Amino acid sequence: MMIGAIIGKELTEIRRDGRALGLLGIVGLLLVLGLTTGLATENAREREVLQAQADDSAVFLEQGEKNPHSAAHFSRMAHKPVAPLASFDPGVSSYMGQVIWLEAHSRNPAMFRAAEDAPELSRLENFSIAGVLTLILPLLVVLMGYGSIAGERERGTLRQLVGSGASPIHLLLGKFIVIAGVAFAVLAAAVAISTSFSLLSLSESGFSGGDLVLRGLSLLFVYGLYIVCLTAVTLLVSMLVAEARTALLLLLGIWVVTVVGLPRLSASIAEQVYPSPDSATFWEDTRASLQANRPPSESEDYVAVEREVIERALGRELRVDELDDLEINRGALRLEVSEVIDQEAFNAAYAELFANYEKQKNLRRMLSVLSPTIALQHLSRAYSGTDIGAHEHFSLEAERQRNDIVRAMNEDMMLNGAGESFGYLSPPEFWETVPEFDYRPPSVAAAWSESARDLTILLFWGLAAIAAMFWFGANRTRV
Amino acid sequence: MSGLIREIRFLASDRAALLWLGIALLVACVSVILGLREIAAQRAVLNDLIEIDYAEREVLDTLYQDWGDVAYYTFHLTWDSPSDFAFAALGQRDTSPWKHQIRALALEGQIYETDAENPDFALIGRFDFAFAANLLAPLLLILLLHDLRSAERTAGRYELLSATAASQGSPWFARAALRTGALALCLIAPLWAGGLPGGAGASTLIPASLVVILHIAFWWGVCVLVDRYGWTSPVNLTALVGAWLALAVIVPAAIKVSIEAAVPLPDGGEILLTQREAVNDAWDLPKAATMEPFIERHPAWADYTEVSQPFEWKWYYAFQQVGDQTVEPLSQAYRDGRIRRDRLAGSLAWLSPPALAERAMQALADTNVAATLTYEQRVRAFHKALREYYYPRLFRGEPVSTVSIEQRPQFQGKES
Repeated sequence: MMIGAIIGKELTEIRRDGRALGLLGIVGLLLVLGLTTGLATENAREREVLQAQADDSAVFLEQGEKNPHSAAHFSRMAHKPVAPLASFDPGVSSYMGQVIWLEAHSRNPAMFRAAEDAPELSRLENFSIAGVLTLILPLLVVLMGYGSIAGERERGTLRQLVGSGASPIHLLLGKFIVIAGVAFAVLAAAVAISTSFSLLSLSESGFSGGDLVLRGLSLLFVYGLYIVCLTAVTLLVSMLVAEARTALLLLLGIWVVTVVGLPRLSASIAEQVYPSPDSATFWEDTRASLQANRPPSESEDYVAVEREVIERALGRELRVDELDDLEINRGALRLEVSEVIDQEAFNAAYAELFANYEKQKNLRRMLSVLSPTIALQHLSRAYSGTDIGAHEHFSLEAERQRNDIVRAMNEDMMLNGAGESFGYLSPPEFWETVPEFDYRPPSVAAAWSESARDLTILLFWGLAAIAAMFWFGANRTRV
Repeated sequence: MSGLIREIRFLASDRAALLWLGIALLVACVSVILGLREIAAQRAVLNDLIEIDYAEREVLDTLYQDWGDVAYYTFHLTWDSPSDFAFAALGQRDTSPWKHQIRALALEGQIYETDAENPDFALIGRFDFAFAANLLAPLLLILLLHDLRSAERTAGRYELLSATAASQGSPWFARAALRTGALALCLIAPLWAGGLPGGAGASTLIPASLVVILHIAFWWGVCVLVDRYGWTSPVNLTALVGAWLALAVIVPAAIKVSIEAAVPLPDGGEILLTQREAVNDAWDLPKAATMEPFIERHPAWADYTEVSQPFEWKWYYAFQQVGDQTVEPLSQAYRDGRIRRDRLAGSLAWLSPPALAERAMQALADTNVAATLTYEQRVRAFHKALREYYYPRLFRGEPVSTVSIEQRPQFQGKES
């Protein structure tokens, strides 16, 4: 009953506070802008991807009679589908290549980053719903809450409230419910609208509706935790300082440092502690590793791979003495053997690259002990399907596809081009038998598992902030 | 003079103001140190790569007997050295490549290759001096200035202080000027302390400092404007943070979205697909279909176009060239679009002082879009020189020799 009365009073105060309502309106407007620009950008990108896939497929299927190794150099392009919640949080989408050329002999990196085409104004203008919620929602909470306790104390109404029977804990709880509730309502509307639009525009991206809803709920949960942290810290500061204006000043100082400054600082520190390899060095090392990994053509290791490649192509085991007498195209055999041998070195090189990204992320995670915003950024991108983990999955699947299609072409030449060397031509209908890239993005469960540590950190922040707020509320509230 | 001393004493006793100034100094120092380390790391990488490039050049003639092999297997390092002021504004150096290893094959398939840097960090942006001075410093100034008059009004001293002042507004002007000056000093001192030993001359540091001062002065003006309304400190603070949000976040975002809509670019994938198609089709086309468009561009080799073998290197490199020629209109449109976008961004940045200041610093640091496009053009020019070096050797079938290899073009880094 008492809590109900406190909630009613707090709501009335927020309604009367023009600034809080004004900022609420601005946040709403920004969210609508973020959503419309996000949807427009991602829909355009999705149309481009679908068109590019269709063009690529048509060109490949219509290449007519052609040498399969020549076709393996031409090969296919793997286009990364637009993540369904990219309109909520575009994450690193613009900063990673969107297309991988599945060429014979080489595991190519993704090419064409939208960020390179973008006009440079200020890196803070990466405008999205996630950006608005991360950067501006804290301000809304601060504005609603900085005077909650300190203001009541200054006006003398805190003494009246306590005198009328409201315990400090009830008082805190009521204020907490109202401030967090208003912020949560804004959040819920943003996530619900964003998820609904994404559901409506789900096409051939490979994401299921159920997965999308789970992603939306996951985002709601982690941003909700963020609101809990923000509200508890705001009330805590308002409780501990003497004047409302000091609370506001301190809270905005905390916002400048933890929301605007530290996420960037942590990235710069992580890059310097675990520097990313530059592409030139990456390729120098990869080429050296490929050379070192190739056994001499007379060695047992090489012959074992040859046998494995032929058995796989024939779909049966070879007899001990059959290898030398087989009627196959030996040039194509050499090509496929080199593909199989090189796969290991390519995969190791890329695994090391992504492992370094993970080390950098871990260091940022450690620094998120100072700023929950960092953990929230990791979670938001993971649940929206726009983090590096999602790109790594795409890159691995594209590599699998490259192995499959190059193998199909090598096997065609190996089995059907005996005695023709590189003069063999695959018939026009052969290209239809080469498998299409049917990319299935990882489900939200993979994002849950990969970001469990970030969630733990954010949970810790939420619980610690709540515990501190109530402990100080029970023991240190000055009236 | 006594007024200034009084204000200095007043500032020295204001713990909150000292805290914000301390944070400004710390942030500026950290950003300068991180920027210097980043640029030192980039230079170290370049030095290593240049050394490897030279070493590989030394042994080429022992590795390959054919110019086709030399051109196919050897990579040529190209790079865009960071300027001595790049530490302060890393700009495009985390999103656009500043080094390429290219071969004499079709260029369009190589020039858009992305670097291996963490895309998360490109998204977040670097903690460089430009960020500290253009985005964080205005917030710190707001925290310093928002309650100069309003706090006195609340305390009931405003009328007395105004009445006893030598002129209207003078105590507030002196107080605000001192705080603004102190903030500017906290930013500029680390910039000079790091920049001078790092090689950045006064000719760059002075305009950079001017950018900082003008930008800070703009925000001082905004604070004065808001203060005129006579609101309370919390209302002032809210309005000023709102102004920062509008000018530093919302306006640049709106400009970016508008420019991207107004200046569409050809899809990058289309360039690659078209070029790949042209190069690949050449394998199955009659040799003349490649040599004719090649000779149109290189008539000097008209007498050497006969290709009698199923595979000849001169034909191979001719169709690489023709592949690039095929996508020239697309590639040019892509480049022109990027230039138009950047020019528009430059004009519209006047609507957002933080973005304008950031662009000014990137221009001083040679880390802006224009610098990226200039580097791309230098790579194109170098690639052209490489082709012109190889074509006589490929078409005349000259033997590989040490003397000839020594004449091979070498990419020249720009003066830093």
